[in-house]
Amino acid sequence: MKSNFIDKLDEILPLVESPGRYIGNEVNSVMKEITEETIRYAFAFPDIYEVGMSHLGTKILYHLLNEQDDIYCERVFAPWVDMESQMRDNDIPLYTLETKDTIHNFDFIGFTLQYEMSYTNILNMLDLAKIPIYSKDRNEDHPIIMVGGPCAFNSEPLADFVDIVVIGEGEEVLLEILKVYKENRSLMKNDILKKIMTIKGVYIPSFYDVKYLENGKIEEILTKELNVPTHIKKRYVQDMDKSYFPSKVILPYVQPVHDRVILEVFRGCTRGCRFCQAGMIYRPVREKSPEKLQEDAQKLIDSTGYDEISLSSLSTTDYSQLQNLVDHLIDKYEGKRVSVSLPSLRIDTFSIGLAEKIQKVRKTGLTFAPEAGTQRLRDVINKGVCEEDLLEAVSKAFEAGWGHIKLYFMIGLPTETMEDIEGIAVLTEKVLQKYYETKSPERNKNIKIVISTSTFVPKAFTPFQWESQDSMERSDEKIRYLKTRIKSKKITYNWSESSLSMLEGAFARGDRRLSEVLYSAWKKGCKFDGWHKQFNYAEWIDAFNECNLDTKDYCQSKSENEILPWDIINPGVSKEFLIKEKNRAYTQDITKHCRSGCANCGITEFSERWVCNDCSQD
Amino acid sequence: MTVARIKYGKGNELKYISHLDFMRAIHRMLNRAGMEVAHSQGFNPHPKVSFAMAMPVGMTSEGDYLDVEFNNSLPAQVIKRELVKHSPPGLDIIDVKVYEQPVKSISAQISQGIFNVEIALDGNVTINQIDDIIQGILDQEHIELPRKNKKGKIVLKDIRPHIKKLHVAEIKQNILKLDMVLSIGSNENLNPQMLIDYITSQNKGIKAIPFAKIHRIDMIVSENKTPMDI
Repeated sequence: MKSNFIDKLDEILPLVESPGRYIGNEVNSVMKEITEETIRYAFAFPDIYEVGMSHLGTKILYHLLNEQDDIYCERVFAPWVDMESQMRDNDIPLYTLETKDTIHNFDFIGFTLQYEMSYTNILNMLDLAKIPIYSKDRNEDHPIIMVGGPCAFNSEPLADFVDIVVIGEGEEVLLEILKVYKENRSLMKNDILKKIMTIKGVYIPSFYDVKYLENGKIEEILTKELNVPTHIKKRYVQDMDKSYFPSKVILPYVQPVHDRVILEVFRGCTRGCRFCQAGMIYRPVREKSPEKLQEDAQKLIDSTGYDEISLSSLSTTDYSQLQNLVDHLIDKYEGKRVSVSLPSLRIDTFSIGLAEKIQKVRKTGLTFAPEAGTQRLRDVINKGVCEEDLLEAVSKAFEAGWGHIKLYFMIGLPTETMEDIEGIAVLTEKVLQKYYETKSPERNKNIKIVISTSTFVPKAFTPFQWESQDSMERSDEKIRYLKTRIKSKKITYNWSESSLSMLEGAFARGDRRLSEVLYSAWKKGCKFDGWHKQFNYAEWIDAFNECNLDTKDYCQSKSENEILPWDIINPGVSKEFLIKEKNRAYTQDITKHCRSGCANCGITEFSERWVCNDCSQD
Repeated sequence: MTVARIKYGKGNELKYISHLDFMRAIHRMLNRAGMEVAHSQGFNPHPKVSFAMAMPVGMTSEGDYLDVEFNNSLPAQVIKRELVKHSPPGLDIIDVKVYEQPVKSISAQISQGIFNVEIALDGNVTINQIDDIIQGILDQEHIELPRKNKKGKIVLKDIRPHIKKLHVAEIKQNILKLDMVLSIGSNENLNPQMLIDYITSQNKGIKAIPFAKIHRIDMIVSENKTPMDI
């Protein structure tokens, strides 16, 4: 089944950057025979190969689908701009890395939504595959377009383009959808969608109509077909030890951002930071047992030859058996030159002790996320971290020989004043001061502190989903202030582009009217918007203007009574809980993390008979 | 200490993989095969694997070499069997020879590469025209071509001394097949693409695109001018 454009690839690949991105053939990639029965599923990642191949969810679902007899899952990524122009010039359609077939011929294309600013790439990828972008323009021969991932919790800006939205974790629901498809593939697409609609966790945007008031707020969400669910409950895997995890993963040649074995130690987060969407939508916390993780590690090391294992989760130092697991992994693999790494650290001395154990020889750097500059604001966002903890932790780190510290902050958080911005500078100076006070002979000669600020973007299904987002002017003013405040040459300051954050904010809380804006921006050439050099703010503003919409309307504060575009989705945490948390933020009331007492977020009512692990232990 | 000299080939599947990425793939293959590769000392130990020559992106081969130092002693056939089992698609493990004592660095041993090249022609080029171009190259004592040095400055490079052999193997169905032997190695080196670019510049009928297929047959050892013994 060789595509007729394959020979042409040899004419263009020598002309593009990193041609290895476009050829597949990696160790552990799956080649399968295709029969009449085979359901062909293209797993589409709307960014470049190196980004997509780092993503754990992609690895899990790729191998899960390929272990089913009658499903063949292949990968497709967004070609970088140089490759895209070669493909367009030579009439080469978007193809998968496995069979090099164009995805036009597939039964399904499933895009993963990790980041709002990759949406234009989805449109561009459909166009490169010569597939009509609007669902209404597609016919029976075109693939069914699916989306899933964190941004699917509010996928309304994509409502006009996609056929199926999957809410929550994909392992179970994806197989259920493909099973229904297999049993009904002779039916018309719309009838297949009606069958799939009954599966829990599935949202079919075309079965709904949204009516807007004059002021742009939603008047009503209407169902267009009979028996269409009025609420979509998210899916999640209950038992992580029984849930599928691949025993081998693809080994990319072109180096991905994360090039190592990734062990997923748990899902969900016990913390409840009020700005964090992942912390809300991935509830409840579900840990894997150390035994299962050890088994996963062994299989993956054997099948890949990687020499690094990373322990991944939303907050790995909260894993209840971390010490145990790390000790085991180090004992077992140290002699084999396999190292262990943690992606980010909570601020406490336990973490430093652990990091010391892990980074015995090379002390590459430590990253902390205080998120806000003052205690008052950290209490507002429920970041359970105090200044003493941070300073004690960095002192320990300096004593142990670390010299490179990264600190992450957000600007524009609810209730923030210039005092809080000043607090970022003051806190950073105190960290530097701790370095000078370090007497240890181990003290690193090269001291470097990097502070990064990103603009706070309110996200759906967080206690801050009703908050306003700082205007670009206001963000820029704060960034400017901080720039002038940082005087020491030992401190470097990085900040994120306020214009990009504003667009991200519009799409994060966007509605269906943004489908048109997205299409218009794509038509103007917008793509890879998250890549600094590709981002074209002026074109985006034109696109909004053409559609008579304004980013400001999406970034302003919302009332608790209004209908939100994502209200149809039920993520497990209740709206009452989110409102309660919002109000506690204003009074700077800390909500303890789940292990110290249940905050009644709603997840136990959401799923029958579910008991949070941490509650049951006490 | 054991050094294994491994002769391997790189197929089409690997031709767009850069040398750096390929090296990483080799390290991981050795790990998967459970080989106890010796590591260098120091803060950042790296596996003792040395390649005869980095291969430019776009080429295939059936005669490349690398040396691996092992902590333990293993028979050549065991090494070969395990590597064949764990090699990535497109990597052909051809042969393995084991040395029980230190050997001279493999990259210092090689001096020439034997290449097969295929270039597309349009229907208008005659065999005589091709012969004239090839003979013209061989008749010259110097062929100085501009190229960028490491600093990005344009300098002249005389490619003629590095062309050891060059002749037409076959012209068939508008494909010109050339055999060539060129200097390769750390001292003197000529990338076959540079010679091909020169040949295509001589006659519009010899096409620069689609790109020439370049295949390395083997490497020649400087001492005795014979292919590497393995």
